[in-house]
Amino acid sequence: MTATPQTLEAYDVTEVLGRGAMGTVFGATRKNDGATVAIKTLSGDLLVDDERPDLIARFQSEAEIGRRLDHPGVVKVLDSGPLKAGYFLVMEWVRGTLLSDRVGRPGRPALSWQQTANTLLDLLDTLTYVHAQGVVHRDIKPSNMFLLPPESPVSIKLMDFGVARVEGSNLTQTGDLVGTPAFMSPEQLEGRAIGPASDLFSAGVLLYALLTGRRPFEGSVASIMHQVLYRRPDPPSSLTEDLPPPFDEIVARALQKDPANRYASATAFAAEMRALLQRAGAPLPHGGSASDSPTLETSPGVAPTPAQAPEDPLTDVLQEIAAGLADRVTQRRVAALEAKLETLDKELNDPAGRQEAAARLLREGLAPLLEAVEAGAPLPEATAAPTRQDFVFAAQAAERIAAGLRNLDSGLETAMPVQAVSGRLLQAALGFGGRLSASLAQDDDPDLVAISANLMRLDVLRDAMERLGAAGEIAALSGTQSMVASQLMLKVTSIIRRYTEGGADDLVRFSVASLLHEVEELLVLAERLVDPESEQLGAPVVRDFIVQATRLAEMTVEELMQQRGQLEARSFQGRLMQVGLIYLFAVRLDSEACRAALQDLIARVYAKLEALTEALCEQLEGELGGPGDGQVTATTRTVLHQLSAVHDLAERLHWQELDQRVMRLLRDRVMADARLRQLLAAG
Amino acid sequence: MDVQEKDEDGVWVLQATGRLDSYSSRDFEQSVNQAIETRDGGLVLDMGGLDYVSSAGLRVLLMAAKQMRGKARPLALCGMRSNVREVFDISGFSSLFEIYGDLEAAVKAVR
Repeated sequence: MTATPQTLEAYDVTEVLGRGAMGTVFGATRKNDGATVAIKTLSGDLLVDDERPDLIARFQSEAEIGRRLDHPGVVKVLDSGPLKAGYFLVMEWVRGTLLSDRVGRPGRPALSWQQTANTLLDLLDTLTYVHAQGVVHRDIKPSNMFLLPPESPVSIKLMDFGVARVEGSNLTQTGDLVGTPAFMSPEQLEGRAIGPASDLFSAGVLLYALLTGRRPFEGSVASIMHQVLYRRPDPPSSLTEDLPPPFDEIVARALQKDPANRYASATAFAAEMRALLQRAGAPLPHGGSASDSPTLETSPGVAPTPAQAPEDPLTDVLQEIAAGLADRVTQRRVAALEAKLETLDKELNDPAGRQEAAARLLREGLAPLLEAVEAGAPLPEATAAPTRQDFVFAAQAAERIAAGLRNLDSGLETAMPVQAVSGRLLQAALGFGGRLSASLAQDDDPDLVAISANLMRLDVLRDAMERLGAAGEIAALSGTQSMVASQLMLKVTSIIRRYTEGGADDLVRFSVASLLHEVEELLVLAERLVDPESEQLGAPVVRDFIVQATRLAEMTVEELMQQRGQLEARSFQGRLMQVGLIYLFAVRLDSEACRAALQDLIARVYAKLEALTEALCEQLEGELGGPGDGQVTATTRTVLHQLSAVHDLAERLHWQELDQRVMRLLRDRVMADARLRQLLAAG
Repeated sequence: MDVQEKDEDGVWVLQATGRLDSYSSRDFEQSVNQAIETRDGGLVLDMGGLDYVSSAGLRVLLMAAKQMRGKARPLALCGMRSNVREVFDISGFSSLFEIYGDLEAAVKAVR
């Protein structure tokens, strides 16, 4: 590679493309030539100490392998370098969709079989090249592939060589367990030496998933491992109708447990797929794209009816308003109205005529429009009341008419009727704020969803006031929203504090669980409070919440620790999920003012879960440690379920270290212990 | 979540599928912002493939409405499933957008 800058100063970051638990992906421009690139960063301060060296090593390995590979089917790595306690990777900009978004649902795949076959053939072509370079990807799965737009020369691009293995390198050694169990080959799962055939197995899993909308190996992680090692999946044709028969044979060959029985190479896999489909009378159309339009719900759309031919400019304006009121005021109508008001302004020159027209427009145009705005406003707490669906556009039209009126007759008082309406709408909003304030003082179980919906209704009111140009009312409304949001967050925090400080009775536990269930609403609430407009008052409230949430998560894991091997699977999973929701909140909230508190939460929650995982692993070892001829006890089953729940959460939150610890243990035990295999085979 | 983009008779259309929540809203926001910045004229957000829209998703749509208004460009939504439509009605967001039953009507409205 030439002219590698190896410092982020060589790029102008233009946007955030995504944030994860460990770093951020940015869109950026390279300063020396203006090229658009994507920059993936690994933020050291977001990592827990245990994971840092391993993840940095993987990032470096991804950079090294990425630079060696030059193929249209591989996302190119352009540059890389260290960051403070982290690392960055600059990649070519890819415009496409993650293939994981196009898998579909069981029995309803998102892609046609032709699109799937073309996608797989392109992947196999890429793998032919990758394998020829002495690289095995080891993590072929839909979320590591971009599906490109139809006009592109290839249909997919492969990325994330972070766990790839290079021949002769010792970076990822035999015995490692990296990758995603549902897509891993048996030899990869067993920690044996792996070669290109392992990627071909994963390509077979991918083919199966794209053809059927369902993965061939599904269930808990222990069950997936058992299936990958010992079970043959149902043929794809049993799940998806109208598949050409050769696909069953192709998939069966790719998913052979013994690598020697699979296709000899990616080229052989591709050639046989083409030949079998050809022979079965199902040849592939060239370059089938994967971007079919989804089926649309249809209903008769209301198109604006053209106004009748105008008699005079004023009638023309009034007709436009009347038509909008009768049907709905649309953006197009507002623009037409604006043009007609201009015509009226130009064509009327006589002062008396202008005054007369203004008076009529005020009476017959602005007044009914404002009436409609007031009557149709989506006020808080009035979800059952009818609203005008064109509420904000009617407000915008009213503002345009008021401006037109001022042009026609500068002596006319047009601000008053507009202010009167916005004033009354504001009163309704303030009334809601007051009532909510009083009810929050008494109610211990606030309905987050309902309050959040009402705050949204205030957003709509605020938008209408912006369109009406009601500056004073906007400020007051914004203050009400901040007050409501802040009181609600304080309430949520106080409920959690009751749990963390007063011990957990069932009622409090239930309240806390239902609050955390609405983590989406909590996030939006926190975002309102850390918004630059309200941050000064809002950020301390959010920080207080984070501190209590941290304590809650720690206590929950401590309780799970005490009840390991005892608490039944669903309860264990449910409580663990609460901890996961708190963690998600911390990862997804973007706030500089709360950064330290969020990082503390992330580190503490991780440490507790790490201890829990270790204890569960030890317990399973202990349970199964004896001679392998006894019965599997109920405790063993419980621990197994609990470990599967830990795995699921770790996988979802990208905790690779914990994920691998659990996988390694389960893998070893599934292979070594016939009792466990019987248990899993029995479901 | 997945966002596909296309030109429909001169109108730029974004078709979102999946779930629009706090996880996917950043990606969605990015796609919408990019469409607003790089394209001219009206914009249609086809919601036919969305299974779920959370409050975080609604906030992104609110931002899009504000941006398009600032540029005096029309924005329309279409194809909403009934559960998504319900979220719009309860939050009052049905009053914030021009919403059409199908893509053709939406494209016609903003062209």
